[in-house]
Amino acid sequence: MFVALAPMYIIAAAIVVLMLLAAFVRNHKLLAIVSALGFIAAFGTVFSHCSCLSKFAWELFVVDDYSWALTAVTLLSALAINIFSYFYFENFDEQKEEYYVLLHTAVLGTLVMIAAKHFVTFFIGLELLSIPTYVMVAYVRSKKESVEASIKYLATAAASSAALLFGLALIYAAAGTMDIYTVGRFFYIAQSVPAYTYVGIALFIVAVGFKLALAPFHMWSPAVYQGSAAPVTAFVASVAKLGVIAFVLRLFNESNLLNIGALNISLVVLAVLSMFIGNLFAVGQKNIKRMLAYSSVAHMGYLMVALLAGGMVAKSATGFYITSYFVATLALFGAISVISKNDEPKSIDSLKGLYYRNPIVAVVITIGLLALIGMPLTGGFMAKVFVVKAGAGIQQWFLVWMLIINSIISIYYYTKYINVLFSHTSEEVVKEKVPYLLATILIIIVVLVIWMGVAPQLWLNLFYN
Amino acid sequence: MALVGILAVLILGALISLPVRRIHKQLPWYVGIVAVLTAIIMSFSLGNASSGTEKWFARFTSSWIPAIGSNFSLAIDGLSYIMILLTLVMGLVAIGFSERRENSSSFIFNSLFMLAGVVGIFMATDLFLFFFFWEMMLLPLYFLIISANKEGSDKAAFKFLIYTQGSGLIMLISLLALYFIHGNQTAIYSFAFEDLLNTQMSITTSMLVMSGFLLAFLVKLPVWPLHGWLPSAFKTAPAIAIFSGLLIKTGAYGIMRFAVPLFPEGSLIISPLMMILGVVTILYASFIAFSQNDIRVISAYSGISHMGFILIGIYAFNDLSWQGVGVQMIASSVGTASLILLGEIIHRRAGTYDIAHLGGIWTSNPNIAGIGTFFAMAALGLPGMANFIAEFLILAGAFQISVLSTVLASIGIVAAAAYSLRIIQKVFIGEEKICISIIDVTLREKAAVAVMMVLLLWIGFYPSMVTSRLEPFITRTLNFSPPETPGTEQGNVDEAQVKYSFQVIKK
Repeated sequence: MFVALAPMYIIAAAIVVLMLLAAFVRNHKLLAIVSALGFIAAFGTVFSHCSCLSKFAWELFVVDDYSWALTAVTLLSALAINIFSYFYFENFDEQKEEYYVLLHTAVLGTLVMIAAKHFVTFFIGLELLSIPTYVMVAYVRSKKESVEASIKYLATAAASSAALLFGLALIYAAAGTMDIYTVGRFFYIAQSVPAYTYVGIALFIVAVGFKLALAPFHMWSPAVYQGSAAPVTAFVASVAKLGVIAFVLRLFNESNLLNIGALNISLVVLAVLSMFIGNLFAVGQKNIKRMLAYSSVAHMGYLMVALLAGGMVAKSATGFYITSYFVATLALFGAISVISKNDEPKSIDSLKGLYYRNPIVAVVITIGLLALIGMPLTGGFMAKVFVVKAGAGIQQWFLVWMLIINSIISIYYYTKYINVLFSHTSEEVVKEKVPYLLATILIIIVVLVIWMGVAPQLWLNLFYN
Repeated sequence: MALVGILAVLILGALISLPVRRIHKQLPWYVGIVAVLTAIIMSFSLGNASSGTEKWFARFTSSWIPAIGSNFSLAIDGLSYIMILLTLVMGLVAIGFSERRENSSSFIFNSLFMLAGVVGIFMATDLFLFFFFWEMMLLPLYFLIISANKEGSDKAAFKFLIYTQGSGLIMLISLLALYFIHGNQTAIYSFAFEDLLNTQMSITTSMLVMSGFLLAFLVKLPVWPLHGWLPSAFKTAPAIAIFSGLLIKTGAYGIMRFAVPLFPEGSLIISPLMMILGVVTILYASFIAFSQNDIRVISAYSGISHMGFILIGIYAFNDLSWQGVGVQMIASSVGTASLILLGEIIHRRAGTYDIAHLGGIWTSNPNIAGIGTFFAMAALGLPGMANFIAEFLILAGAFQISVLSTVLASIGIVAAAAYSLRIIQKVFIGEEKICISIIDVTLREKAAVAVMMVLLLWIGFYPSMVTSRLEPFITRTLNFSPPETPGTEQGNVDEAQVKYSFQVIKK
């Protein structure tokens, strides 16, 4: 009983421990280590694979292999971000210790959303995730753009939360319950649903679209990606989206919402818009973090194609796509945070000739970008193949074609950055050193990317239960 | 098992070459040479085990991604065997010839990975694995081009990537379409080549799916008008040029192995168009080669015009012409590589690739001039060299299908003579226009040149070594088309004529 929700308990305990530690002992290293230990301990409980839930939790949570797999992904990503954050914030004079409390709280929110089977649980998890994220984005208070990004994020997220609540209320008014399985049965059985239910669903999708940065709800994402510190961007790009994706996938699978034609069409429209807007806006970007923001909009569009497929196919394709996307994103933002020691890379020129200064980081960035392009040998390729197969399986040839066209467009702006890494500069070549722990983590992540690209079956089985 | 071994040796060599650079700067180069040599020896041993009657003479299958029905299945028959040997030998020459420069380790790493990808393409019988290797050979070449550090490398790399990656993605769509159509009909979702062979499709569907495949192969080939990526790639570095020369054979291989057997009716329908494209490619490339001054660009266009011959040969669906295609693939690779080597040898001494600025090398460097004349003669198809056999067989076969194409293609042979002789005239004969260092041919250059010459002469005088290997593959693949004339011989021309004249004498 305890075991099923163990990760959440451990993280919650870690939050308390970290808060107390931060109050009494001002030691950045100690807090970073305790924080990492918290994540590792929570990850350890994943191996129990238990589905046993206590009576009071049964209404709100569901714990199955799928949620365990995604929990593992979350915790490992958070651990990596933890390590990147430690090395990044070492150079800053501000208060660094509270950051880890925020990180843990946000991760707890994600874990709650992954296991959620009730809309209220989802909302609690969402708020648990969002509020610390506002603060994390603004963490480096001395940088004007961080605070500005945080305010933008806060304002739009608050509006979307309000919309979400209203939508959930409307769904409750129609279905009489907030449990997603019962809601699903309601939609399956009901002859006709009141019109305001569709409004409720639409508002729910709006909130989801905002959180995932789907077009046209993506406006916050370039500012936030560019303004926040690199490890925080890594968090926003990966873990912050995972919870919502997991819940939406469960929702679509268990309730028959996808049978609603209007919902299907609107999701298709969202997907195609995200793909095009993401790719077309990314083309002209000179700042790598901004480019990655738009590219993640496009990737969420690709992910929607897998989500629409429904059923087992959707679960495995989405799970695999998320994992490979996370690994690539973490590699990229980890590498960026390594080279942001003194100053964030402002434009593409600061990356010029990076291969000759810092070969490890340059290779990591290259492999990360290749994974996002979807080059074979990387996990990104297999992920795209599975998504295309999922889309083709439901005869959505239009979506598949859009995906392929957008992949071709995306080659251009990704390779621009890869080219720059290898271009020769006329200046002196000063080799930079990377701390061993960081280099090891980056190399492990890169090995994961390639492993997923060469032997994907192993990973697919994780999500195939 | 040896099949995987060849791939493993190449990849292992690539991985080892990275850290050994710390020990000694030139060690990666040696690692590269050893790896490719080992792979060549392993391939030879495979060939000796052939029985001649079965379809494949070495197989390896292992489960890879059951979720989509794709297996890691490799197999080789005569065609694959020849192409693998060609690839490895040319790879050896390319690596051996290149300078052991500063960034040796990433050069060797990328080269070995690329060779592994190309060899994998020739071995794969699972279409998803084929696509995987197809894309896998693009990446290392892309990195080779961008780290070449010449002015045009960025643009060349970008062009290369867009052309090949874009067409590769379209091939993926066709592949998936074939996979789903087959799955819908037989409820077996599999990527294996043998499974997908007999998919029933309407003519329109078949043509659509085939065009996806063909687009990728034709970009690789390259035919006009999709050839834009090749000349700029040739200008970056000699080894890259030789590798690009290898890459284009995968396009021809893809058509022969996959596009034609999977879509027989579609191929027959599209055959006239392909013949036209082939002729246009030959003439266009030959005329451009004649007007160029940069010897690397000349060899690029010479290679493209040879590929035009290959295209005509394939779509003539004739035993003779397919034999010619097999020989032409070897002849073209060696011929193009030899011109590149020539250009590089001259460049190392004169500092320029521009033949308009060169002249009179015969007096100062007679050895180089002799080598250069030999290669120029090979390029124009002098009898006794591989190119002659290849072009003769192709045109002899194509003549039975389309006289007009054959006539027009023969004009290409004349043009080939023109640009080859122009090279000799501009570079070797005449007045000395530029000071050239009189360093004689070094040992490494001699070795590389010797390999080329031996190959050209050997196949030129004794092509049945190649044609007999190809025979089973050709008869099997072409048996859907009606025989042209009763009693058309399969196999090499000399043998057939001997048989015929023998029978006449007997009577």
